[in-house]
Amino acid sequence: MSPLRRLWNVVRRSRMDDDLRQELDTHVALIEDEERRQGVTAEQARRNARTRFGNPDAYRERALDAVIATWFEHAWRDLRYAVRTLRKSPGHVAVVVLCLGLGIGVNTTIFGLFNAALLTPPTGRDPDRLVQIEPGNSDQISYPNYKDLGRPAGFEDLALSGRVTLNLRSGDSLQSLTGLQVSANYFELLGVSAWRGRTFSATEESPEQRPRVVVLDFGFSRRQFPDAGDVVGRILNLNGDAFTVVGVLSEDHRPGMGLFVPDLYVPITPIVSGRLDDRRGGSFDLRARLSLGASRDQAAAAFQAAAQRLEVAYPVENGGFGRPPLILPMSGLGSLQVGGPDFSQMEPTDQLDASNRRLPESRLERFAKRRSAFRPSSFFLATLAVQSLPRSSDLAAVAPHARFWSSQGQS
Amino acid sequence: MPKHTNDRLQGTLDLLILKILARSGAQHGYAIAQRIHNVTDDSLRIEEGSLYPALQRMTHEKWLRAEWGLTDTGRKARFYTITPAGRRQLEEEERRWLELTEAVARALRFA
Repeated sequence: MSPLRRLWNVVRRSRMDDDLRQELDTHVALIEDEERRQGVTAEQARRNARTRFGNPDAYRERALDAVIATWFEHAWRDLRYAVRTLRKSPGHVAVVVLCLGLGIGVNTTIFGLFNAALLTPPTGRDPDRLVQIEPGNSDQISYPNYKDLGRPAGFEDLALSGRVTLNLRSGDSLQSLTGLQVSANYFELLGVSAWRGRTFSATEESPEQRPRVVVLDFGFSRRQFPDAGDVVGRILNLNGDAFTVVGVLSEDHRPGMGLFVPDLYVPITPIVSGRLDDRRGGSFDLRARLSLGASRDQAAAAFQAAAQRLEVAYPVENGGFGRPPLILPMSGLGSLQVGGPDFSQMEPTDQLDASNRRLPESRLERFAKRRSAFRPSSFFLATLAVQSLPRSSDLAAVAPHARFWSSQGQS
Repeated sequence: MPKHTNDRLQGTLDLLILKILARSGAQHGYAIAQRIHNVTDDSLRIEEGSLYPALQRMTHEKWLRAEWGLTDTGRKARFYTITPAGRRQLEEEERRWLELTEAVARALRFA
């Protein structure tokens, strides 16, 4: 069986096949009529017709093969024509390929963001009230500043999180995991409870006590212990310390960090976080839940007031800390906004003048703070602009060879 | 790009089918076979096994158009007509055929 025939078998029961069968049957019948006109009996006429005509099945297959061969011949001819034409303009081809690549890439990225932000808001209670805070001097916050901030008006609670790499030793093998170190109130703030066991409790709040407990992501738990029923109570050797599994999150838990899903969660302790007493800069993301009815602007003002007090108290370490913070929602369109730049690096903190008034903002800074520059609408407009680029040039490239698939005509 | 220039036998069948359809309008396969049979005084018998692949292929090339209809005796048959592209192909094939036969005739006379 030829490859062509095999391919054809897939679509064998097509109309073309039925048509051919009918056509050949008619032909045999017409021969039969002719024989009968010459005075032969009906039975004899049928036999003569069969003999004269031959094997209709074989003819049908040959006819189908002829069509397939023609089709391939055309496709091959068109392909060669296309390649020949394209080879004459390599620059053009490069532009088209680049545009298509960019277009597809941008599309994928946008969808990834869109999906993470809109279609899958973080799990938890009232995700609309969850925000990400970027203080005036950095996009992250230090542990001492978090502790000293307390709970400004307008916020139900504030929580810390930070990515951390943990080494899991099991027997002789060492495995590198991506975890999230969180303040003990983190899950409570999100409104997430454990699927098995529990999340962290207030006793794990103090890093000084070096709590060695861990909460597992569902997927990780499944991968790591495929056959274990209940993993709560197990001991994991993380970074050389024995951690007790106290809980597993539910299967549908979404951490709301885009494409990042931590394998496990540990309390913030010197065991995994290193020194926690450095006030400068910061190494933790600050998440918060707005109080019911509080607006982001009110919360931002309260946060800034508290931050300014800390800047006055620690002018050296906290330069710029009291500037207006960025408060970004964690779900919905608003979370697509790109975080503000790291002001502490953009502008030396000693630009504060003697009376501690801020100098006029630099143009770049003003631009960065103007939300409109980061609004989804402008984001999408930019995307559209990028996408329309490949579309027009792509058409221009293909149009001259429009005969590619509809060819067949010799004209 | 004309096809079958090296394939004389197939080209000949194409040529005959095109010529008959150009002369006589819509015809079904049986009638085409009969016609070739008659006009060549029985010296060329078209085998049905070649006729239908040729008709299929030429329809696919858009030289012919196929339509279902009824014969005089009320049988359902597919009727073929020649298209403008088919007429151009016919001219081309006729020209090539004459060139070839003249060349062969000359060769036979003077060789």
